[in-house]
Amino acid sequence: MTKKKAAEKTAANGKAAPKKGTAEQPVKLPEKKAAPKQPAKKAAGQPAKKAAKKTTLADTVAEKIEAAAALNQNITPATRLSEIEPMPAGVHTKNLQTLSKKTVIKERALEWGFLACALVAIVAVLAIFIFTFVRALPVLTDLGIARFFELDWTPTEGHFGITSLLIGSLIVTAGALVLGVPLALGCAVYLTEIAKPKVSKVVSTAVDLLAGVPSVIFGFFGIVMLRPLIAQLTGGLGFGALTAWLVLAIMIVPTITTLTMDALRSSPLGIREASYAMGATKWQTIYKVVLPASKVGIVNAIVLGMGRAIGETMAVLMVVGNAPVIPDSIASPISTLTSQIALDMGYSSGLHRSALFGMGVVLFIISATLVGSVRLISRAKETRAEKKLSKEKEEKLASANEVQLATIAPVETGAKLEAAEEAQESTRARIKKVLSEAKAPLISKDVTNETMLVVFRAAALLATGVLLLIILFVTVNGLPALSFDFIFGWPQGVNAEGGIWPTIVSSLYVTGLAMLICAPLAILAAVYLTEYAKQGRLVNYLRFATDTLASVPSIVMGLFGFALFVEVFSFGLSMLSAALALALMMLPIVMRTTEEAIRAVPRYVRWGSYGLGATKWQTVSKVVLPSAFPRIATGIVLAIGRAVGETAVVLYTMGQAINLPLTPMDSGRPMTIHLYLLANEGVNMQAAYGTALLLMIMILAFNLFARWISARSTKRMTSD
Amino acid sequence: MHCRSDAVDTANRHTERGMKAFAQKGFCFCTALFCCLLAASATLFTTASLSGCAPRGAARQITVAGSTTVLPIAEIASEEIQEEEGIHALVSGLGSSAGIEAVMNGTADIATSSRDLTADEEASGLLQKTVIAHDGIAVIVNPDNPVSQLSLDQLRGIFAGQITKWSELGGPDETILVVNRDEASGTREAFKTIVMQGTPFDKRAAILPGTGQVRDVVSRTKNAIGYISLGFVDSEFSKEKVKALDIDGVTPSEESIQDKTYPIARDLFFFTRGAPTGDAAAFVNFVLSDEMDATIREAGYLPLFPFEKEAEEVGLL
Repeated sequence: MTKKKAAEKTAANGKAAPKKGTAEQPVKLPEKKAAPKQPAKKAAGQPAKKAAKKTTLADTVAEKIEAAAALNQNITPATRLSEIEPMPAGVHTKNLQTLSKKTVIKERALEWGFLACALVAIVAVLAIFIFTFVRALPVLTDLGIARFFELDWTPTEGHFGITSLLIGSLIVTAGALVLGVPLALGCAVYLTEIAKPKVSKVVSTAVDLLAGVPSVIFGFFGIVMLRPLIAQLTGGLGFGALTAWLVLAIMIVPTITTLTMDALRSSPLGIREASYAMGATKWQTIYKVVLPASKVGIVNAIVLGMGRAIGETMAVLMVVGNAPVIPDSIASPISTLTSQIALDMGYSSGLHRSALFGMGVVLFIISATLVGSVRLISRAKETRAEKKLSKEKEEKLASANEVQLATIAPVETGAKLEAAEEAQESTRARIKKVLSEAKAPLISKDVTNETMLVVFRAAALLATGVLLLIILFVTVNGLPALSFDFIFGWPQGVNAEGGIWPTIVSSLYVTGLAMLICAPLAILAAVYLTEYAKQGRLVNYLRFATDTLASVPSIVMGLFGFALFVEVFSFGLSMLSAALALALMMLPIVMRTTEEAIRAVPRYVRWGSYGLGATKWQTVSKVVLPSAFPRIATGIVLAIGRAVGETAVVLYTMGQAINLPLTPMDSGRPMTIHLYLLANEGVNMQAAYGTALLLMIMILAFNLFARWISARSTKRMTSD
Repeated sequence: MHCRSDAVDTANRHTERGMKAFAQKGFCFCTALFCCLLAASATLFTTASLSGCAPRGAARQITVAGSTTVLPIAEIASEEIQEEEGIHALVSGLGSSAGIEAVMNGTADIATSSRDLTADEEASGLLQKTVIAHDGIAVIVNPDNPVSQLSLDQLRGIFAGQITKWSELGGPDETILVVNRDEASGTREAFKTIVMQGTPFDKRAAILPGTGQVRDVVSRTKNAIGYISLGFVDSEFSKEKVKALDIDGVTPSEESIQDKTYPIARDLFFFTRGAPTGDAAAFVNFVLSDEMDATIREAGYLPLFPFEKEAEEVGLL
């Protein structure tokens, strides 16, 4: 078969997945091929190195055993090879009987250790729920569930009804979605389907970076810029749902845009080509082919955006006006669950505090439900695709094509392939139907096409424009404040003039400590999930737990941190309490990026390693992790950027005193809280702008650094 | 297929070096990983044990928590006492009630408060009260607002939501936009006691968590009304102005607060668990000293008169 024909065939069949696979392989080829050449060097080098290491431990007996084991490995490579080679990637320590007892024990112990790390996620989710729930019990038993869901929230008079707050949360979220989703979808479609690759690359990088801008900066922008504008327009105070909608819509645009872009990009190129080939315009292709094909991905993106909006605390707190009532109009003050928790937590006690924990439970349940529904949607689609595929397979079994198909499709891309196939089928049917119903349109398709392209362009322009405006606003106002004294000086005087050095140190201190706790746990947990775990119920639970943990609203994590670390463990308001809460927040993020990094390491490398007689742990530690290292580092740096910008988690776990932390038990005030307090005090706005700018620069720097690491590693791999 | 095996060979030669580097890197990486875990757990254990046995404040450290109103005074006092006597005071502003709660359960040494104790807190009998300054609460409106005086009853009507139009008070026919403070605020507490006298606040009013924000919003919104400490009515940091209203015919000023004719005035307090001792006592006396008068004025409050100071000062051991 000629190359051309093959290409045509894959395009026509929509087998984008295998095509993609072959495109990626050349990049990683060098790595894979490394394994076979390795034996001589590695086998010779290893015993010597190990012996040297052991003598330093002065454990001569162990040394002898080790040397013997090493020798053993050398003498019988053939038999061991034959044992291990046919095994798939999920080799288990069970199969290591030929190894010395010590090695087996070590391997087992390591596996259990990794499992323990992985279980942290489940334990954390359960602990968060149970702890918040237990603290919420008094309000439920004393008042009863019915009174807890009353309309009236007046803590001073003993009314703890959360319904008006719940409605406030829903109003704010719904409005933000109505404004933000079309904007984000338009932006994503423009970037993936319409824009030139160069433009798309620059803009999507910008959108990615903006996803890292902390919420307190959006809130700050909201009260300083948007509120007066809206006050002028509506004749009110400018606090209320409308302002919150605008601020939140801007905030969720980057999140939804990036996720939607992923979804659009994963739909096969072939369906677009097929659509164009039938004479469809760009708009028709987008509207009738591309968007329906990536429906599930888009719905997931929107649901996750919704989760972010409903859990958002600081930005909302700063612009809603915090009146716990059903609002008269969209411009009158309201309050939400998250903002009320943040506002009242500092001084509440007794039943009032218990009610706040009750609100935390409600938020937790909402976000867990959203995560659950995302999983259900995805799974429903998978099973549907599976059914369809199996039916087709039966039909096709007789045909000779089947053989070819099986050779083209590697096992690992099976799921993707099925999804693509399913999408393929439905779109094909849809196109046929549309064509059969065709009649002369009122407006020519070219006119519609032109108009819609302009609309998409406008959406992208608006989204990026607004985000750039925020950056510009902070930069222009903040630059005059930046000086050596401001960065390295101490705050002075009544209105916190002078510098912000202690807050910078506090921010970095707590982030560093959090990463020290989180990164090893997350990496080892990811190793367990990718290398050791058998696919099954446990892995399913683990994934659900990490997804839930990732979606826990930051203020709920703050509540939990306060209840457990500050009070029960009596760490007090300290760096340690805040770092532990932050670490839990970052755990799923680092875990996910590490998992992806490890998955990206080709299997050949592992097989090569096993083929040399390496144990599981040797393979993981010396082959898999090092090749995944650049991507893991990228994930960690990104998480650091996010942790630096966190506010709600540290608001009630870290204390707010300006202090230069030395030990983990010291309290301090991070930059985000400093900014929040400066904005609230509203007296020394210059310092607030300066802090905001510095915070943003730091976070952008972390994100750019992460990009640089991953860019460098890809470059190195391709040049090798 | 030929060219492919060539490519494989070259790739192999290239990556042989790479693999070795990988193996070394891998070792370092994993060692680093475990060190991290070790370090993390070590910190956890040491700090846990530290928190268990080390007495707080052993290194001449005291914790001052509470009112955001008193925060500026406490912060400056903390800076100066650090320089002069080497006492390290950790100051935070969480709201008066939070501060009192913190002192009651022992997490703070001194509670700064802009309100007196509630009946419940008084009844616990744990807390010792020290007056450190006087403060007047100014009712502020936008400078463009023609209304320039109100009675206490009218003020109550506005904040209870019974009076909703400026026209009822001699102003234009426009809605009154009420700006209230959050419940953690001592200013709100004082305003509630002195002005509201048991009438509940209108819940539809916007609640802002900071003095500066109330001032900023009122200064830029024509129909807004709010209340802040008198000392913040004129701000050196803001170009925008606000207008303080006469209440019951008395203009808020230092004189009218000192001679107690201005009705919405209060005292600022320090609360300690029992009589202050040691470093806490030193801190209280430092704030009461004449040295701090200028700072207290700068923060917008009135220092005590000399005869009052004598009564409040604690005998140092």
